[in-house]
Amino acid sequence: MARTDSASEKALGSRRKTFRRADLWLLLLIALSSVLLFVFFLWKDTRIRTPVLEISQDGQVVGVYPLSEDRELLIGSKESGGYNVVRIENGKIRITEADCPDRSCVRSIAIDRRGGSIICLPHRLVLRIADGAGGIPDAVAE
Amino acid sequence: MNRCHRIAFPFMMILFLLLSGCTSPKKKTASDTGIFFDTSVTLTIYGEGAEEALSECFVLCRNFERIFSAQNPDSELYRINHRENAGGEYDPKTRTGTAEYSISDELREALALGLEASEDTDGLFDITMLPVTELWDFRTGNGSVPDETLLLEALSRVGFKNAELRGSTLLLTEGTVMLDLGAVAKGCISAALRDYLQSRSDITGAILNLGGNIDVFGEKPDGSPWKVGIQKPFSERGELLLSVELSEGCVISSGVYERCFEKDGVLYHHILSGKDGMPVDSGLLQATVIGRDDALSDTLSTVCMLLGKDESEQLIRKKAYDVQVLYTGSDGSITLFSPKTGEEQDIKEGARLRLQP
Repeated sequence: MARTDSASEKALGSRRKTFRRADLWLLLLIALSSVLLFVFFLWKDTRIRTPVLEISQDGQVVGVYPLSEDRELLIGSKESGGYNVVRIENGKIRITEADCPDRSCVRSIAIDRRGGSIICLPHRLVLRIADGAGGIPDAVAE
Repeated sequence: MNRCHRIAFPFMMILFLLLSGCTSPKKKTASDTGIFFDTSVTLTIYGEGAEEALSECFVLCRNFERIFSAQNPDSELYRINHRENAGGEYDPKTRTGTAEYSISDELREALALGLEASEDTDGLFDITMLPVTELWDFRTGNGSVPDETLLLEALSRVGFKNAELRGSTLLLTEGTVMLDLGAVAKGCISAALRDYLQSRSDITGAILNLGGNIDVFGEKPDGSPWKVGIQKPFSERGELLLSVELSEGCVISSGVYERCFEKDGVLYHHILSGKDGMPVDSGLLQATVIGRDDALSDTLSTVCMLLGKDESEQLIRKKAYDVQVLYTGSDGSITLFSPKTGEEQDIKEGARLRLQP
């Protein structure tokens, strides 16, 4: 038998011998890395980003705030006019005070981690939840 | 297979796997809010070309501002309203005679739509209302009713029959007539944005919000239908009356709760009659038009508010417009009108309507 083996090895060349060992390991490595890569990209695509409050004025982002800490922010100045007071409380965001003419920002519903935005048109101010968790409509017809 | 191949093969396999891992179809999203023509424009665009398309859309908005704005002295409309470089027999000294303008395609389309609506409503909706709308101040919420003499003077300048389109030529037969595209322009712009985005093969879907006019098309990354909420009249901004789900189309509301003020217990709102220049009470708080044609739907939402439920339903039937309308009556009742089936359906507050395009 041993003779036949070595004879067939000779006949097939050294290809088969190396396949049995190193190539098997390589195949395993490839399979393993593909599984790991697959899991990694899946995780990367679906991992939950934390929703944050993004405030921009005149198209420029002026601040990004976590929803977890309560705080009150003054945008603009009360002395020179053109201000909005933004309050983050228990994860909900509102504009509580403003000196804009239409005051529609103050009359806007609070936004939270799900998403949405509050806009003060006269002051060109946009509060928006970035990476919102969803569960609210994509837009509201007014 | 030689030795070299034997080593290269597995490495190439690994490389291939790495690359295919990287090119797993990632949904690109771009979203931003800009402010144009006194309106916030929020666009969310999906697809490989989202970033580039988004900035191109804002360029388009800026271009439209230079056509439709009644306030911007550089706009095409403003120059026409103030008879700058008027052709025809117009005499700037006496402000009389017919002025002639060769106008852009965008302006022509908007005016044609506005003139048609003026005709259809026999002037209750009037495209030449600008002298009247300029007397009312609905922005601050504590405006006042215009002086009667001023209102009558302004009304004497209103009359859509004094504006005429002949191909791409606009004729203004009265020297003091001024055009107002407030009820038409936003719809024309969102239609143009949508056309542009749909012409790009690298955009898979988008949601456009032009000051509360919503337009959606294509696919949402998670494959679910688009959900559009409808503002509840006289409630906090963002509080919902109900919501609609649709795969494609526009949702455009018009209502008395928006841009209004109260004086001596009377609500004065921005939906003004072309007949007397005063706010119209047609028994409706809100009309929402759901359709495919943004420009038409935008105009119709105002027309519905002016005509009231029964008359606007008649008009929509007569013109065979491809729209559905949600009416909110002064008594709080909600009705969905679907002219295709001829059906009228009572809707409960908080409902989730699934609409077929």
